Amino acid sequence: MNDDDLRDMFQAQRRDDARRAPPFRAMWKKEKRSPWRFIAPIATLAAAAAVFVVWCGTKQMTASAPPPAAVAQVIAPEWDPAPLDFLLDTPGLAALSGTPDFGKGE
Amino acid sequence: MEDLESQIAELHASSFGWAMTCCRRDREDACEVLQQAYWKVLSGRARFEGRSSLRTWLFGVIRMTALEHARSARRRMREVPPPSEPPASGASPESSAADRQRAAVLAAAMERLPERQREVLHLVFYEDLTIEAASRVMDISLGTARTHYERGKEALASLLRKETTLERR
Repeated sequence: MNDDDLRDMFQAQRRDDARRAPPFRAMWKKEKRSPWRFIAPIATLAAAAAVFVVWCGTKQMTASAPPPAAVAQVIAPEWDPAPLDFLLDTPGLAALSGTPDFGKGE
Repeated sequence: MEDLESQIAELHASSFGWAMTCCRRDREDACEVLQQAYWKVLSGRARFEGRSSLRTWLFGVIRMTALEHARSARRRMREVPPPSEPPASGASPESSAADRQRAAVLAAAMERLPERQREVLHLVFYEDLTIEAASRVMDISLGTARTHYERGKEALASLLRKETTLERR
């Protein structure tokens, strides 16, 4: 294996490479692939996901909130009589609940 | 710039072959490295100042780009797949197959050599550069390049002899 044999083998490789080489035009005009090229799409996706999550949360809260009437009922239930109304029955309640009439019936 | 472009276009096949050697014969890596090297030229990050031949300068740019590419810890995902291999044209299918076979044998033997030896042998035998020109591309002294050349040539011849002997059996 002398220099000429080696040169022959390298020239065979050279011919093989020439057949496999991509076209010059395809390589020359392309833009460099920046390592930051994924940032913009990822940021856009993240922002869209955040907006969706917030929107879903707001929608869920609106859907699960009780109607205004129910809220009012919880705050001021319309019980008649209320379970603890008897506590208001104090002695002399009748005398206190109205204005006494003086001089009537005599 | 147009003049430079046409000169670089003329060197394209050689540049691709050199990129292949710098990327351990990985075609996809070689395409990416070559494209990045061209981008450096287009964007002005690499400027030809006429201190050496255009080929020596361009090969230096490609070599540095390949080193950066290899050093990067994480492999960049490929945005666009490298151009597909063009169909063989010109040569007869028999000669193409023979070239491919010999190229594969040579590539397998070269793979077993140290990087510097691979580079200097490629530049001298593939590109017909002198050892001095090869040393400029590789950015090493002439003496060092000569040592790599002698050792590499001896090792490569030995590997190819073994390969030939095995094939004959």
